[in-house]
Amino acid sequence: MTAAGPAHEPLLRVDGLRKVYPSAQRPVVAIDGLSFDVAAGEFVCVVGPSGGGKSTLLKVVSGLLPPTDGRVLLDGASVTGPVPGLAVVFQEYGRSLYAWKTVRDNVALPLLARRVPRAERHRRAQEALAAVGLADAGRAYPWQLSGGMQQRVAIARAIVGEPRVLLMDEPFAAVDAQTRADLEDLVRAIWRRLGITVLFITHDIDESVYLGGRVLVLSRAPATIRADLTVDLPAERDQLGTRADARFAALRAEVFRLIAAEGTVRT
Amino acid sequence: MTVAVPHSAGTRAARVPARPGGTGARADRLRGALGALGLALAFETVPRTGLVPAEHLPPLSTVLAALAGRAGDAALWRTVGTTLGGWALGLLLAVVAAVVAGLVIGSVGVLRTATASTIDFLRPIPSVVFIPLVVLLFGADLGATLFLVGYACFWLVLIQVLYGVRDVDPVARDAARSAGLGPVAQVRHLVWPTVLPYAVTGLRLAASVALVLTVTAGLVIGSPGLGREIWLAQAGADIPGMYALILVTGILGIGVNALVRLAERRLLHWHVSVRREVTPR
Amino acid sequence: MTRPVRVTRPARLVRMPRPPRWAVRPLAALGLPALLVTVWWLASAGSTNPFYPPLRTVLDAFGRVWLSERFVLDVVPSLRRFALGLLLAVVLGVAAGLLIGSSRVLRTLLEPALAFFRALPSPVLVPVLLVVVGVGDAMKVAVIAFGCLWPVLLNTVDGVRGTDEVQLDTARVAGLSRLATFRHLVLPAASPQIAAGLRQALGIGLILMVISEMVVSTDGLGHAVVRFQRSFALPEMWSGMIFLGILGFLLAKALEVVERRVLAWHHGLRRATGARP
Repeated sequence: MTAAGPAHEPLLRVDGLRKVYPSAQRPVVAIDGLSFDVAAGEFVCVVGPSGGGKSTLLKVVSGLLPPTDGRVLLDGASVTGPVPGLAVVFQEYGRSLYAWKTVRDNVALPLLARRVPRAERHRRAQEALAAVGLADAGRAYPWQLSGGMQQRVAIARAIVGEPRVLLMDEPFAAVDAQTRADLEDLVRAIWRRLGITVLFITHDIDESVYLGGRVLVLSRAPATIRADLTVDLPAERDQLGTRADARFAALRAEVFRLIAAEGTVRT
Repeated sequence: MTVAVPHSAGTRAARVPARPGGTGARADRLRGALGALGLALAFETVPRTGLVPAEHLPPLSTVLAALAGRAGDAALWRTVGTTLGGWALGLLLAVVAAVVAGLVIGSVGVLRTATASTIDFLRPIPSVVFIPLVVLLFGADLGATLFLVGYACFWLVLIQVLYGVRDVDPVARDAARSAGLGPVAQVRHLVWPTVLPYAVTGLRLAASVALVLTVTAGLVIGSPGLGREIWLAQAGADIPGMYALILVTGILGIGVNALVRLAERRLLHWHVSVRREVTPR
Repeated sequence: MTRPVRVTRPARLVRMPRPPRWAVRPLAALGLPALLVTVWWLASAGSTNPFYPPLRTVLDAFGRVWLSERFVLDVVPSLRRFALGLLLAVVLGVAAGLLIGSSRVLRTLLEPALAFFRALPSPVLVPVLLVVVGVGDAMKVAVIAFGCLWPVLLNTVDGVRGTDEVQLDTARVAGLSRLATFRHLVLPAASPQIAAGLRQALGIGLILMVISEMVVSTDGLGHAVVRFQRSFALPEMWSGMIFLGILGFLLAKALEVVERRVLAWHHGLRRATGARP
């Protein structure tokens, strides 16, 4: 279920990506010559030091921000703006949901743009909500839900349009530990059930190893790929067993070492 | 990028350190100057091209000439002074009365409950309703201006002060009480500092309303001030003069706004930075 | 199948904004007004001062004047002008505010003009529009519309500028067109601010309605009270003032009720976030 054969074109290709924020005083290079491939069905985590251009990477990959140089290819086609095949879950769930729309209408938002008939929109939104365990919450407003539930709504909205790739930008950074564990398992469950491809950005080393089939370690800004590790843990994972596994500990130590090295190498 | 949905290109740029006073701000200032220039140019050319008859809207140069003519006359400055005086006095009376009433009503639970409906009823009544009565009582006098300004501003400030009293932190109140602070000391050290930002908000709202009613009193009742002069100019078919006075009124309005902002910053220097940065959503 | 996902229910049911406290406590609400009216009644009962006629006489006049054809002759024209002016201001103000708010170039270009009209006391428009438009109904509607335009416009601009960037990104990722983004994001996000502008506009509009009718008119509420005052029909004048007062109160309440319904989400959101530390 991990990487596709070498003969296949990768689903998502990031090629020589560079992003510079122009500024009168001193241009800021956020990403510098970043390349990686993601095969269909992979779960790839990107982990790196805070303020290291992770969010910039996600914005460029999702087409929200044009790259200064390099390109992003989805199924061989260049991504120059938001495309239906790429869905995003933002970190700030409280801000990404629309307070004036019910949970169901929030989830149905991507279908609105595709002129899906109303009844069909409701049906699919309801399905997506059921998939994240919120089948009963459709008529509520987002602000009536807890933070964890709001992030589930955001996940439901991301999967409702059946995207090829799910991009997640530190989605669980703002919720408490128990909720976070639940949401991590939810994302893995959805990934396995839908056979979707996930690119998951996080600053949490444990999370990256627990979730991913592969971990990309980013360098300090300007971000480049520092290491590309395969997580050879069994596909069946659970919060207690997996985290107690010796292999998990070794991988976590490896990622930690790489990131810590980043901290001391360039200061 | 012309007319578009507010762009999010700047989203991440906010994280990037540099930018204040950068190219963006300079371009904004330039466009502001350009806009002002364009406005003046339109004011000058539209009447000249006959798009609007010049007797309805004379070109800017004619209006400015009329203004220059009056500027040499002490009468104009007396009028401006009278207007400002009526504005300031009416506002002051309203603010003092409203702050006192607000602190008393807000601090006494029974009063708060008993007056709520009455305040709710009297507040939205436009003070111009009282013009006929005011004419009978005061004639075309400063008293008329003060009544109209005072009535309208009183409620604006009172409501804000009541909000402020309600916002006093109950924990802080308990702390003050257990520290042995008496009622007066509580008002001085706890209630008033909490209320002040609200009162200042009320003042800001009331300041522009006060100017509106000062001008109204002149226009409708004929009490002395810019409003009356504008009306007289119109009645005397001195159209450039009327526009000149309106220009003065507008500039006065801008000045009044600036003055209140300054007062706000002075009064709330300890508070404003915290309060302003968190833009209300 | 995968592990069962924990199903959680919404923490709270949909709560609508509460009515004001005094509405649920009629005694507290009616006590003071009843007292004030009684005092007025008793104090004015034997009044021979023509300026302060007995409340009884005023109420007689109220019935005679406002529950007659006066209603059609004076109240209806006033309300028509007010409604028309306000409607024009809202349509133009919101449309222009959406455009200006979404374009930085346009906004900075128009900044000086907006600052001037924001600061200009709108009653000066009465003599101006008297010159430009003339004495008729159009003048009064134009005065009301012009005066109400600025609070609506400026608040809309502020509201649009406050649109959340993450929400904008969400709309882009969802593939919403520009028009759909306006309809589903920018306009609703700005609506609490627009409502605040509308509240200001209501107050200004009422002032402008009354004074434009006081200054030049042959009908309308403002004209009626001034006519009564000039002909020294003081009970009628008082009744007109009371009528205008009630009208002001009712219009403000009506707007409040509409806002409470339309912006129920906003009030709920504020309570929800306010409750959280």
